[in-house]
Amino acid sequence: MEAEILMKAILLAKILLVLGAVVTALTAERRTLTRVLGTFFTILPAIVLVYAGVGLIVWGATPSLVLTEISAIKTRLTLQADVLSGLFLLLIGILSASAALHSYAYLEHPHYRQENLIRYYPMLLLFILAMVGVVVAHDMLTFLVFWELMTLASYVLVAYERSKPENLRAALKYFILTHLGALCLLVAAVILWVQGGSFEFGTVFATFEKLAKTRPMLLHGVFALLFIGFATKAALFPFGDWLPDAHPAAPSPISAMLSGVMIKLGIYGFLRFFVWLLPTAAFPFAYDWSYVFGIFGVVSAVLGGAAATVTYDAKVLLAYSSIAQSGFITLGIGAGMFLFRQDLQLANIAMAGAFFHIVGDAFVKALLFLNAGSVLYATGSRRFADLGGLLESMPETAGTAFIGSMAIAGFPPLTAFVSKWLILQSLLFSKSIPVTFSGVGMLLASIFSILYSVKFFASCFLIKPMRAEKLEVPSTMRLAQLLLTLLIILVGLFPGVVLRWSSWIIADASMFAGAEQQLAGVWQWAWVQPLTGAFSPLIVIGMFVVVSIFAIISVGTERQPRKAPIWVGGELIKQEQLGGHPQGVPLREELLQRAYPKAPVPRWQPPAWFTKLLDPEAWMYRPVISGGEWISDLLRRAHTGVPHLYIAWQIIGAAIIALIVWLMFRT
Amino acid sequence: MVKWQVALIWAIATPLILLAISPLLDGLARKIRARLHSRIGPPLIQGYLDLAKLAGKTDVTPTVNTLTNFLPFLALASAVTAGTLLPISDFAPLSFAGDLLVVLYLLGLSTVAIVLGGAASGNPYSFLGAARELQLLLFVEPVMAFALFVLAVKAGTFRLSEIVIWHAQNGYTLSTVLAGISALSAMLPYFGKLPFDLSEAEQELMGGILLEQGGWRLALYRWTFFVKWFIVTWLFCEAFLPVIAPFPLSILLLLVKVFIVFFIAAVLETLLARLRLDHARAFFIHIAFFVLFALAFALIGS
Repeated sequence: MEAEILMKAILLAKILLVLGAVVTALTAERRTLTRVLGTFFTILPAIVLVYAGVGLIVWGATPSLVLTEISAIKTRLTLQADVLSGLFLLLIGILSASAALHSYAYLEHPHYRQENLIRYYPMLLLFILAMVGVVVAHDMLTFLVFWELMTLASYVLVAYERSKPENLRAALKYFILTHLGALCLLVAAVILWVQGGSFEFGTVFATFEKLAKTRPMLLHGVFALLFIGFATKAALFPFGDWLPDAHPAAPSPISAMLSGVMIKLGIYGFLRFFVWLLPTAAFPFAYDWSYVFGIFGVVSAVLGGAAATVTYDAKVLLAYSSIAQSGFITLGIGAGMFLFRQDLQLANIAMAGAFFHIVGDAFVKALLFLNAGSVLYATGSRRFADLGGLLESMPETAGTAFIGSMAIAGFPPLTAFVSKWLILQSLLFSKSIPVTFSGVGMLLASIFSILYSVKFFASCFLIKPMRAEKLEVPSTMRLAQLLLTLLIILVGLFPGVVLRWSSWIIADASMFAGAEQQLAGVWQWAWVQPLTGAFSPLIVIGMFVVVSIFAIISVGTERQPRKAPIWVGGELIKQEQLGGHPQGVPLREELLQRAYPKAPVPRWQPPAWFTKLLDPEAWMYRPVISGGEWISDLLRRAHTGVPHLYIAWQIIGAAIIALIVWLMFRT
Repeated sequence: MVKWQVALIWAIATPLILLAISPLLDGLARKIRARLHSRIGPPLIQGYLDLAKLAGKTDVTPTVNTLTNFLPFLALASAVTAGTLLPISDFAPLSFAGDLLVVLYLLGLSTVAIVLGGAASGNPYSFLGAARELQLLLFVEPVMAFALFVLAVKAGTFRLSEIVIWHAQNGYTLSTVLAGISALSAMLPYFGKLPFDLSEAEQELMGGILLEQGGWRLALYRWTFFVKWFIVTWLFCEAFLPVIAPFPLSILLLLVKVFIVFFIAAVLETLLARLRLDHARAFFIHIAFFVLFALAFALIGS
């Protein structure tokens, strides 16, 4: 009964999204009408999706619907949602609603006004539709179709502002790199089809079991292809090289969607194929692949954090930070896959941390991208050099950005703290030397995240003399930010609720079944008490309030502060020379040893290949492009329009075919 | 399990006691410095006198808004909250509310609040101080965290009271001694004192992040520093010099330990000159390798 309602809700959302795409495409010439309709047709399905997501998690139903059967490939195209899909449906719903609210006013900025809305709202709705399709697909074919649709729709959205050549370049890079990833997924799907005979997930499950027993190397190959495909979407280093280019190019609400949910769908792929669809016989493979997850997770977390610390562009900073957070999540999943055999409870804690980070980071990163968009809307720039001193000009945006930055820095009692704390516990107490040392990398990455979040907030809103003019953004944009801020505070104050939901989700995977009873007392509504630690956000916030009240009483703040000009020791300095340089943390110079001319002391320089390795564009993206150009050049040369040449080609081709036929039938 | 009444009394009393006795450390440090300079020096209660004087002054500052009024309270409150989570020997009534990592992050939050307060003033010197403080955080926080993680890994838990009990029962090993030395060196920048007072650096930056703070706001920031001195010393003493004692005696022991460790820090402050940022960085990178070796030793069981 419940299952039917939920399936109907998901279908209703999909129909509404398609309808909205058609309607907004038809009305695209009338901007105001399209904006209203587009917002309406995003928020309505979003509410339905939130309902479906919560229902799926709370009722634990697995509604299923067979679309059609293709007997030629022995596959029934199926939609099926379970608790794991429920979580992602919930995130898609919430984030698409806030992105739609934010883009209502954002698209009327003079910057974007000359762009046609037909490339925005229909594509946004198709993008949401595709993401919903990805998480409820239950066979490889549907999954890949929606996966491609998601990439295509988001490609158009990334290239929305097409008057700038760098945006088109970023979009093309995104297109090519994600398609390389999708190609890997396609090859993996075909291999599984050849081995198993069907594209359905049930058959994939059986195929994994068969391959684990008979052909383990082939299974490792399939896993490698799946890993590369999903890591490209999840933006792990070095596969995520498209992300720092694509995010600044996209309109800010789209960046929020890309970073908040879309790269989390790469994580969904990891969870679905490496945990959920794994039969017992293939569990040792999960153990082997946990090392890969851990290595890529730590490297992405540390490098993403370090790169975010030295950027001078608000949206690039957030993009690198997305890579880092993706690394944290992957590390948590890897820890869970490593530990499930020796210590189920600790493995469950790691997975709960990963799930909490998926939820928390989705909200926080979406909020920060919306903040960056508001700043861009108000000032027309996203470079830190042009920003600063906006705190009093846009107080509400600044307030939400403060909460968001503190949350992503991981300060209690906000969201990212709980997840980092849980993952770090499982890493440190794993009794395995490499895993514990990945905890060292994780702590380093956490400190980088403190640095770049402080840098983001301070460079946007502080560090310069406060601007006098009022620049606050329109109310719909503020509403979207406020919604996400409230969610961050709620999730941060009551982590037990989300953690209990994630424990239900985790218990659904056969790998982690049975740990729910062991962890029964751990996730209370207001405090979290795993064996190895304890945290209660309410008590922390209570202490904050008590101490603040005491301090207010003891120092007494009834005297108004007196305003005075900035004091620089009596030097004559112009107003615009005041304030700090936007580099915030001058780490780049420090790291590259350029700050001062140095005495000839022998210093360790990283080898050239290592420096090259850190630039995936040079060794991954450009070779693909030049290879493609080379091949198309060859093809072009074959078609010169000379008839003799064509006849020659035909004769050679006929000869080759004849040779093949002869070889086949010669017996 | 501690009774909830005890936890409630602890939760009310500890912040008050912390706020009350921490300015004493300032007077103590200044007295020690004066004696080493062969001066008589200010009275021991100079910290209280300074706070009272500052709280009575008018606040003159370039930026007045909700955030800059809120940040001093955030700094002080997070430092004091970290203090309530610490154990006195094995007695930690609020240990269910937070563990080692919560304490470390709360100390970091208090630092970040001060940094943001400095950055909000729009003064270039404050900004320089803030940037230095952040860079120092990048090198100091991992060292302190890893040193405490050595104990956590050995004890198999993040809960501070259990770490203390484990350390008191099992005694020192190679890894814990190495970690203790690293933590002692990482404590100095937490104090914000010489040789690591880069963020204030009166001679270069005229007070750095505190340059534009005045009146009650400066009083709160200074109070935060005092509380942090006490808490960091307390954490170090309980984690690395653990003695299990019955309740009233344990407080006395803690005070004695804090006094001794703080005395050493104050003497070091007087004897050493300020390090430049690159020197500080080089110092902590070496200490970091030290502490990573300690972690490796801890993992192979020594």
